[in-house]
Amino acid sequence: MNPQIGLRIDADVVESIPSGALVNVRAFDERGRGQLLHTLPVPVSGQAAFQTTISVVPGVYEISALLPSGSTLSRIVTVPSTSEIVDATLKAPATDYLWAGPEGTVLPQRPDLSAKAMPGWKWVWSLPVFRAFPSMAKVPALQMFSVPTSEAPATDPVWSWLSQHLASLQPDTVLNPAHVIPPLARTIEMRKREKDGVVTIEPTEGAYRPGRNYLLTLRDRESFLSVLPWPWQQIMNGGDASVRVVISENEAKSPDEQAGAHWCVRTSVRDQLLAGVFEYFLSGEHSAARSLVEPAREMLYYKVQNPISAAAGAYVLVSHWINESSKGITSSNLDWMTWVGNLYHRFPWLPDGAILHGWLTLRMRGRDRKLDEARTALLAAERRGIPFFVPGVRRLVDGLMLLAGDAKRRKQPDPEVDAALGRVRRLAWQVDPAQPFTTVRLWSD
Amino acid sequence: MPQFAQASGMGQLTSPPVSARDFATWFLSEFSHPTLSEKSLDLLISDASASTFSYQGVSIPVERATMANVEPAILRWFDRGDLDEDSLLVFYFCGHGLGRGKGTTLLLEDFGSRPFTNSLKLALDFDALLLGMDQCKARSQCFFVDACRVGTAVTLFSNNFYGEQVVVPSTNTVNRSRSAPVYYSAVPGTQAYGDPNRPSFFTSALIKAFKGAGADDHSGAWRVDSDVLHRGIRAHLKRAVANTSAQSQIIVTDGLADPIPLHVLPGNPLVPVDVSCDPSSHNAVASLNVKLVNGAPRQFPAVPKGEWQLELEPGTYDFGVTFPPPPRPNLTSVTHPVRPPSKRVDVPVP
Repeated sequence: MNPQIGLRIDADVVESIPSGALVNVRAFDERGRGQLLHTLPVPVSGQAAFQTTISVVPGVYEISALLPSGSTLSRIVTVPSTSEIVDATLKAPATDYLWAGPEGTVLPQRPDLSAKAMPGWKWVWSLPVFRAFPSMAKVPALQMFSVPTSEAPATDPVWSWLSQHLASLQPDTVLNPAHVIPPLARTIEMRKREKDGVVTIEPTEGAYRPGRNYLLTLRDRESFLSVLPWPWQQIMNGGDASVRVVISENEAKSPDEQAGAHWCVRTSVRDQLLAGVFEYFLSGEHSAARSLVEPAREMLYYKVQNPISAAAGAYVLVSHWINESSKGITSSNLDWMTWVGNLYHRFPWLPDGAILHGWLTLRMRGRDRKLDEARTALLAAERRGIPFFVPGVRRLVDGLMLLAGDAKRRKQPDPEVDAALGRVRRLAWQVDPAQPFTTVRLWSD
Repeated sequence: MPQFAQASGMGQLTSPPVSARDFATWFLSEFSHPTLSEKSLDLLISDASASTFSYQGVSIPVERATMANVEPAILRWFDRGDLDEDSLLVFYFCGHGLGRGKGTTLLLEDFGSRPFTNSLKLALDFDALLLGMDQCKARSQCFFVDACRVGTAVTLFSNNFYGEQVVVPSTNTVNRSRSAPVYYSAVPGTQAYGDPNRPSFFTSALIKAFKGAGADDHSGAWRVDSDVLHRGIRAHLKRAVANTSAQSQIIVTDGLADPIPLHVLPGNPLVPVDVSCDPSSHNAVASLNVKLVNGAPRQFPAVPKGEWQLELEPGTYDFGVTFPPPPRPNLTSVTHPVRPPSKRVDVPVP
């Protein structure tokens, strides 16, 4: 039996994240030259029991990881010719990590969160529970509402209102963000309670209504609309995952008043499959895609249980396929393409399914080229409303831009595509691109 | 005279011309691709004082970065890349930018010479340009955008016009995949910084990363690939902006899925190594001793503020400190391997 290396990122996180970070394992030869052996996801956990092991031959290895904050961790381990596990745990600095994207805002997730330890931070938390702190006096106004998908018109009513007003936004415009809540929406009642200096806001019992859920955050005349992936059923081990919205002060100091929002709002899901490396991918770290293909297939397969999670898996698969197929690498196991089509057709409230199907058809080559179908899907996606995932916003803009460019070159304008593109480009300027889930900055007057 | 003065509250910058000249000089003198033997440079600079570029003692006139000059320059660049799919295209921009969310617009010299949103005719819609360049045969393309990414009223209320596309996007792309990493000097909604009349923090970090922090030796020689470069820039930028008002500046990179080789180093890389006593209060008193295993020792004097910022070649080093008399007992050194992209070492002081 070969010796093994045990891999883990040791961090003071609230919950262990099975695939929390990507680690490179490099072997050194006698002359000290390195050769990359593996890039693999490893657990992020404060508990030694959470460990991924790999078999290696005796030798000297460098273990390195890039944290979402941009810091690099590395260490050298010597593996003897015994069959023991050589521990190669990487210790994350206590104040230097954020398992929700590379934007760089430092958010160590300590279990001893307190107002004193984290001044100025607020948490909203859902299982479905929202938790905020440090003091109720500073808690922003929150409105959670649900738009029933069974009654929704062809164009999503939230998007219909928002896109109309984004398009006509002028410097002196003052709009009431609460108007983004359409008449047919159902408000989800929430209650506040305070214990040990922590304010918890949670939906009242039985408040859940089927439909697309949104959270409107208002504070100091700034407002954000978050697409809530709630409820979220985990396909691994079952059960609902907690959906959390973190509301924090924006550390970026910008003198530009138009850009100078003082708050940012970030949604994450504590799904055992989605957390960690998946969030890397959804936040723009596309190099993570290769290691996510198998879990992504799993997520897409179980689309009926959780179509939003299925869309996350499909983003990985489509991105990986576009990259590999255009290099001439083909796979016989492409049944997931049919599943993407099903995601588009069976969930007419899900913009992401339409975006993904649109991109699959855009990138089909030769006889399979179906630009009309791509156009139909991308226009449908725009009507379905704000994508759940930020990569969907980029894909929608780019897809429509390609179609609009074709029309421009043919000197046959496509007004429908141009109009949709105009609307989604406005949206693209209002989202935080480093987040996995879409939050739209509305406006500060 | 630049037209840019105070357009939408943005004044003429002095750092970009210096940055562009530095990057161009590095490109001409040091850039070395592992397989491509020829290189060409098209340089456009908006400088209040001079429209020349000096290289190896020769002063060369350069075009100004107006839309009238930039558009044909981009099309020439496209055409050169269109000759050979194995070419590498490099786009470098340093100057004013507008951006938020998923949008970036790059402003040219004459932006501001027309009223309000008409000035966007004198800016580049970078997102469209990036997408449009997929039609160029060159399958390796690399973009460096050293610009602020904050929005102003001009772009937010511009009736859906984000600048000139120059290369209109199309679904008729080349069948082979493109690697097109984009290195932005700032995350959307934030600014990029530089001291007046000096290269920007990002460009300095970029050039230093090419000299070592962005290198790896997985193929034998020390080489800079697009994915490792990203980490090297991060390491140097973090160091450059520490303890400045720009410390919120963080680079962000798109399109790293398929790394491409960019540059081969002529020798060993220089790795940024930050060393501190633990606790750091001793840094102002102690001297630092650094010794490459089987090498000669080097000593660095105490640093009045901060920590020791070294640049070392790869290897395994002993790091220790000594204090002025009287001698302190129980001082030990620590041994650490040094490899790109960077290393941080804490030397415990009992």
